[in-house]
Amino acid sequence: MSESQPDHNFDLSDDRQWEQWCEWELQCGRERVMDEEARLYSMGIIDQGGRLATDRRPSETHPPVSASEEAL
Amino acid sequence: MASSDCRRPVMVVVAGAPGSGKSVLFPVHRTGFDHFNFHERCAELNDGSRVALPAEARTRARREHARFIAEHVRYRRSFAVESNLVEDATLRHARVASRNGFITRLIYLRAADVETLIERVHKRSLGGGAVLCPEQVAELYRGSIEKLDEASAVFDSVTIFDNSHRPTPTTSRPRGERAHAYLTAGLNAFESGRFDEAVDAFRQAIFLDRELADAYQHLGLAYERLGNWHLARHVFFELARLRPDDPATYFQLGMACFEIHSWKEAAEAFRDVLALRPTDAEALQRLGVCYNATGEPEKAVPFLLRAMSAKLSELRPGDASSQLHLALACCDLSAWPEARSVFEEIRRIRNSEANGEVKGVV
Repeated sequence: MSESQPDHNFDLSDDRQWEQWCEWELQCGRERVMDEEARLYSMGIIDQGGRLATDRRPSETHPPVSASEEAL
Repeated sequence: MASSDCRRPVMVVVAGAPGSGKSVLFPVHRTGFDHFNFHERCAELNDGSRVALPAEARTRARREHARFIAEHVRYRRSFAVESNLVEDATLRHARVASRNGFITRLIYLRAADVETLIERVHKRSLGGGAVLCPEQVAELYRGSIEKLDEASAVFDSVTIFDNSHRPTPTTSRPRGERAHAYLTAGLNAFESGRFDEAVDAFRQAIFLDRELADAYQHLGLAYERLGNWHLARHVFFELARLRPDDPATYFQLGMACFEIHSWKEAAEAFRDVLALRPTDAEALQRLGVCYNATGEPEKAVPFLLRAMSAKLSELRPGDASSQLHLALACCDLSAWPEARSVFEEIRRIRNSEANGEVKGVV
């Protein structure tokens, strides 16, 4: 799909460096989770505790896909 | 180190049920390898939207996905993909890759219960993500967990993370830094008159640091500029909690309440201003107007008289608004001689202003 240049110096073929990369990436990921939650909060979807702000339901105009289609 | 430097190519699979946090915690592009995210590709083929995906988009993305993996395995190039492990294809690909000399690595994100995932998927769908009903999430969750044992025997390394809980809402440094970044972005948008954008940024700053008073203050001001006084009132109320000794905050709260004609609440806020700044002419006048509006002209009169006095001391003799409200209070009290006297005073002020006398004084 696309090629990327890594923005890290971990050799992911090395077991030890793989583990270090996972830990490092997990920390970055937690910050992305916060950003994502901030985005949902700014849209009024969740409250500051991360809970749904209202009893909103997915739009019925966009029916869910089937589980088999989602599975990959 | 770039993938081309590795002696053995690596296949990375980030797996988990929907809502487990694959794309947020371990987006495949972060490996630095060639990568393919099936759901992102579907969205790309659907003008960027993850909802109402046409079947053709899924079919095409599925074909591209299979070709991507086959080519990378064939040419022994490292790559990373996402999967929920439910279908057999992922394990099949891993076996083939392993036979071709790949190091196969699986990151699996799990949650302690399916309800957590259902709620996350629901929130995500409200924010523009794919729509899956709870039964589908549950089915995929079960299917994914069931495959984990088998996957453990196929992949060279399996790293499992429990993502049941959201990050602790603290004001740790990264979180605080991010909050300030949003605040700065919001201030820039505010200064440029892009108030909707400013609102978004301030709200995100507040989410990350709920004690960030400047963000509340400017969020309230942005709502004011957008004419949304109800939300401005709510924000200034929160700000008053953070700045209990700031008369300006109470004044802004009072003004927001005033605009939505919540007179009693406005009066309370203006009284809070006066407790901290007793000669604030605007607060005195607004409090008087609030009392007039709630049918309590007898309470309005002393505050309006004080407002007139304060304005004189502020060299604002041309401002007859306090007198006007005082006259109305006198009318409500049937104090006709006093009302007449005040109206005459208003006429005198306005004549003076028309003759340029006030201008000269100011």
